[in-house]
Amino acid sequence: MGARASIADVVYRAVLRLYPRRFQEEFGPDMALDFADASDEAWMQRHWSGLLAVWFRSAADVVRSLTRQWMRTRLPLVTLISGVIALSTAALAQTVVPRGPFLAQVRPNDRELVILLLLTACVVLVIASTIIFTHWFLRPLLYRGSPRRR
Amino acid sequence: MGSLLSLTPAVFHILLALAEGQRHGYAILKDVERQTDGAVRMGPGTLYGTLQRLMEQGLVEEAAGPARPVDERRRYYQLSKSGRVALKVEVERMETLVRTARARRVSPRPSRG
Repeated sequence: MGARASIADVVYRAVLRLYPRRFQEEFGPDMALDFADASDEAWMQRHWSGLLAVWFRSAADVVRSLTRQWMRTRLPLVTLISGVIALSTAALAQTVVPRGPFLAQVRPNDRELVILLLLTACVVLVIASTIIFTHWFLRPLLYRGSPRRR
Repeated sequence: MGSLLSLTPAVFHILLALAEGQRHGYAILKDVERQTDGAVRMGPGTLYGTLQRLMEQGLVEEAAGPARPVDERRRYYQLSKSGRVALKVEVERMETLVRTARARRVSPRPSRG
């Protein structure tokens, strides 16, 4: 079984990298060991049928726990809110900027370019402030509890 | 059964596995499988996700491990005092439920084989 199990172990370890970094650092090595032990045991007891059962079970477990772990970080929620805020601001800027009084001083040929630049600046500003806000103000909420060190 | 438990089934089985002493992750998985006659087969993702939550809640803590560990890479876990209390309270609650059910003549189906 050696080579097959090794390939499966490598694939499993690669999949573990999809977990949030803190969880991966804290439990990744133990999860890889457990998977390897379960595969060895299944092979000794039932050969291919046992091994396939372990692989399918592990795949389902990864999908479930991966979703749960990412939801725990609240990052998907923050990303969604950031996206909605950025899009709303862009839509608002699109209606406000073309009517701005400062555009009167811009030559008619350059007007579209200036509007485009202003809209881009608005979107970049919103994204930047969302990132800064998330990192500095929401950090205590996103990463509750201190990581364990070995 | 899940809705009757104040602890989730995964939490209850893990706490029960740790009731006999410190264990590493794979030993917990095997114990849960034994407790439930193979009905519950927890994967590593579910196990460590639950352990992470239990450690944050202070119900489980990392243990030093045996003096001569079989595999030095393994980390061991044990019940904390509050974890033991939570397990005891849960078992008492389940006992009360079973007593009530028996008093109302709700008996389990006879086991097969």
